[in-house]
Formats: sequence, C-alpha cells, structure tokens
Amino acid sequence: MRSVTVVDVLHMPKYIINRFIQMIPVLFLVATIVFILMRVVPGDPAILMLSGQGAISPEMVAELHQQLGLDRPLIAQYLSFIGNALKGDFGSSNRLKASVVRVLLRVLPYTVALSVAGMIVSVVLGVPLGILSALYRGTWFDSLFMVVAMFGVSVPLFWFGLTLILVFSFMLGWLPPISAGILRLQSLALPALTLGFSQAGLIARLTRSSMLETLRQDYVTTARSKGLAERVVVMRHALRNALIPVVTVIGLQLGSMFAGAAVTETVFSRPGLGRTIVSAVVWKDYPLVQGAVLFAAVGFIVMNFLVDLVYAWLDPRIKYT
Amino acid sequence: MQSTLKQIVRTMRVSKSLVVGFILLSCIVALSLLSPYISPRDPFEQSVRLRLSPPNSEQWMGTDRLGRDILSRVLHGGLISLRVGGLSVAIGLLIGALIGMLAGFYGGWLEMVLMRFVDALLAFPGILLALVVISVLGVGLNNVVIAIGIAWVPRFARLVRGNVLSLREEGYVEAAQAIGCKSFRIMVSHILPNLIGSLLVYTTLQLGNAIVTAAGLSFLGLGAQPPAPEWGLMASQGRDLIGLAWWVSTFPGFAVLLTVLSFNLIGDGFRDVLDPRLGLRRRQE
Repeated sequence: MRSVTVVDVLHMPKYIINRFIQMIPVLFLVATIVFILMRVVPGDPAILMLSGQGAISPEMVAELHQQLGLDRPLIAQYLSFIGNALKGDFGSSNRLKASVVRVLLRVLPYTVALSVAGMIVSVVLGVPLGILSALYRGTWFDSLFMVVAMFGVSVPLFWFGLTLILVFSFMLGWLPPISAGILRLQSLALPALTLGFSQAGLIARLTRSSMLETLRQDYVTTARSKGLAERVVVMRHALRNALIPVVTVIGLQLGSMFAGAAVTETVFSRPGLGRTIVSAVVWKDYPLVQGAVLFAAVGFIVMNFLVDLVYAWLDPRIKYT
Repeated sequence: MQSTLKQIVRTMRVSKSLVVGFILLSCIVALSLLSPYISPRDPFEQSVRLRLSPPNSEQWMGTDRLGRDILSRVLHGGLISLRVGGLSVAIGLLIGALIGMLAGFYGGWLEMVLMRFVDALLAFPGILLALVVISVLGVGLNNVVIAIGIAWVPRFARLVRGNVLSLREEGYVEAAQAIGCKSFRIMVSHILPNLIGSLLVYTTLQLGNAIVTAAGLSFLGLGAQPPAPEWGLMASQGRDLIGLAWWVSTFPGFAVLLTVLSFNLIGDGFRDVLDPRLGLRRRQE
C-alpha cells in the first residue's frame, strides 16, 4: 500500500470531520422518512395492532392511542420521536415487552458475525476469481467463471441455503442444519456460504471488469515496457488501482447484508437483526420495526462513512475535494 | 421493418448471453401462459393418498404435504412471479424516471429537494425499505408489489437524473430550447428517446432482482399467502421438510433461479450491445 506522508496526516482529520458532518443530515432524513412512513400512510396502527384480538371497541383503540402517544399532534409526536432517538431510546416492543434497544443489542452480534463471515467468503472467493479470469480472459477458465458468477448473481438465497442444508447436513451429515452459535465455525459455515456466495458473484464480476480496465491503462503498459515481470506488473501496479471500486462495493454490501440477512437467518433458524425485523413486521410491532429499521439504516450510513475513509486512503486525489 | 429485423439479428450475433437469456425467458413465458392447459393436475387439488410422493413417472416433481402436484404448481407460479416483477418494476420505473427527469432537467431547488429525498431513501440498505412499507400496508402479494416498487424508485431516479444531466448539455437540446420548444416537449421528444438504452439495460436487470426479492419476501411469509402457488411461498413450505422431501422446495426455488437468470442474461446482453465502448472492447479481445 501507499506510504502515509506528513501531508496526508495533516489533511486526514479535516476530511474525516467534513465527511462526518455530511452524515448528520442524512441520518436526520432517514429518521424522518421512517416516521412519515409509519404515521402518515393510511391505516391506523392501533387498529392493525388490535386486529386478531377479537372485537375492537373504540375505548380500546383510544387507550392504545394514548399509550403509544398517537393522540398527540403529529408535530409533537415527531419531535419526541427525534428527541428520544437522539437519546438512544426507541421505546419498547409491544410484543416482547422489552426495550427495543435491548432486543436489538441482543441479536446484533449474530447478524454482525454472519455479515462479516459472509463478506469474508465473498471476498476470498470473488476477488481472486475475478483477477484470474481477467488475466486469462477469453479462455475456457474465463467462460466457466462467467457462468458460475452469473449463477451466483441470480441464485435466490433461500434456495441456495436450503440446497446447502440438503447436501451438507442431510446427505453428508457434516454440518448442522440449524445455526445457533454466534461465532462457532460449525454453525456459521453454511449461513456464511449462503450469504457470501451471491455477493461473491457480484464482487468477482466487478473485480474482473475493473482489472480489465486497469490493465489497459498507460502506466501498466509503461511498467511492462520497463521489462518488469508480469507478476510485479499485476500485483504492484494494476491490482491496487483495480481494487478501488471493489472496496466501495464491499463496504456497501456489508452494510446491506445487515438487513439482507433476513432470508439467510430464516433458512437456518438463526437469531438476528433481519429475522427480528421480519417478525416485528408480521406481528405489527411498530416500535420494534421503527427502531430496527433506524438501527440498520444507521449501521449502513456509518459503514458508508468508513468506506469513504478507506477510499480516501487508497486514492489520494479524493482527500482534497 | 426489415432493417429492424436485421438489427435484431446483428444484435443477437454480438451477444451470446442475450440469445441464451432470450430463449430461456421465452420458454418460461410460454410455459407460464400455457399453464392452465398443460398442467397435469389442478394446482390446488389435494390428495391424502399422494402426500409427499417423491418425483415419479406420474408426478414429475413429486407432491407436497397436502398431496398437491408440484409441477402443476410451479407452472402456475410462473405468471404470478412475472406479474409481480413486471408491476413492481413498472412502479419504480415510472415514479423514479419522473423524479430523475424533473430533477435533472430543471435543476435548482427542485433538484436539491428531490435528490436529498432520493439519497435518504437510498440510505435504507437492501430490502429494508420494502420491509417498512409492508409493515405499514400489511402482509400480502399486492403490498409486496407496492413495497418493491417504492424501494426501486430511488434507484431509477438516480440513474435517470445522471443521464439527463449530461443530455441537457447536448447541442440538440440547446437548439430545441433556442427555437422555443416547451420544456415538456424537450423532455419527451429529445431527452427521453436517449434514455431508453440505459433504462432498458437497468430495467431488465431490476426485473430479475424484483422477482427474486418478491420470492424472498414470500418465503419470509410477508408476500403471497397459502394456498397460492407462489414459488417463494412453496419453497418456504418445504423448508422444514428439506431432509425428508427435498423436492418440495427445490423445484420452486429452481424456477426462481432460471427466471432471474434469464433476465440477468438479457440485461447483460443488452449492455454489451448498447454500450458501444464495451462492445468494441469485447470484439478486440
């Protein structure tokens, strides 16, 4: 990697602070959109929540309104929602009778472990395959790779996960079909492979096209004409630049995995943020939906922030803009 | 007419993935449309005697827990998935393209307001926005269509705005403005036709994406409800049976895979053909 100079160190904090300040309005807008979607869309949450509990009397609705603060003016609800969110208070779950933050913090480690493991799988599979197929473009390896990557991009997660369970748990008996541990390799392997495989297809395709693009650059030709070994040209000159767009996508994917893990977590009966959101949606547990969505969105935004920092480190030109 | 045909043939020759994807999708569409006539049995007909029969000469894909013929259900599921994908992408495309067009063309405060809104929607990762919409509208396949449509709006808006920004600077747009064309006319007859290429590629890829997302939401129990022969729902009904009766979830899931694959192949093919830079490069290699 590029060595860090004094100038870089002097400029870095300013960039970080600017980028951090830019994050605030987005967080604010996201919270506002969640609030608007949950309140202003037709349909009374209280009635939705009470449905399925037999006859609904107007008194029950009014009581629930008061309990949820829905009887207050919208603007007051909005202000207290933002105020509480700033304090890290998302209310309490209707169904689980526990604070939303506590429910989320309990399942978060599962999802973080799964997302990170999935990301490792996708990078370990995707980046080398993408590089190799770019280097051997037009050969049978490249063609085979394109087919596998296309398959990876198209495969439904639930189907791939169930197929892995069928093969590795029931036919071979190697791994458990249910994933209960946070970090146990045995229980993490299949879900991580499920989540990582489709991302691997995406990363591999991107690495390949980015690598092809970079290999065509003048400085690569220069490096070759200097008589450098092909391995040095590829590893030292082409790879680092080719990976810049890949790093961006990896970061974004890791963020979206937090929420996208819902299907994988359901397939493997694994606790997690995604499954918590889904069951909150099914049970119309509004405070939990609201809190979990904000939680995931904030995670995603912070992830983007971190990606931008890595990006600035990889590409010195970005810092001064 | 003949030149169009020639163009199509030439296009097909450039991209293998377009040809394969097109053939695959044609088969899927044909089978789905013909499903009422070619299905061996009624997709809802239950049979205690035939419960969980493995694939055999009578039931090619076996039967589910209620003895329903899986082949018939998979065939009937085709139209459901194609419709859900088409409708949700149409919602995202229409609203998104309108927002992108207005923001890109008029600029100024309108652009700022619209694009900040779009940015905020994009801050919801993956299917999260769709989940929020479903939590408000309730569970069901129609709501899944609306939810995916809304979740797709910011993606289309950003794509269209980016393109409109560069098209706005083109000589023919300035010329049209100089001779006093109305803004609406410039947008419809000068800018829109030039957007079709990139929209075609993106829309095709998003169709596949929408179909797999909808199937995933149904798998989670948020979309189609029993007894609908929806692929994601069918796969979820086979989830607990995977070690006992693999065919219940494998075949519907495979149907999703093939359908999504066909759209991705076509989208990739369109990109090869329509992006002259990429096309040229490919020929050089």
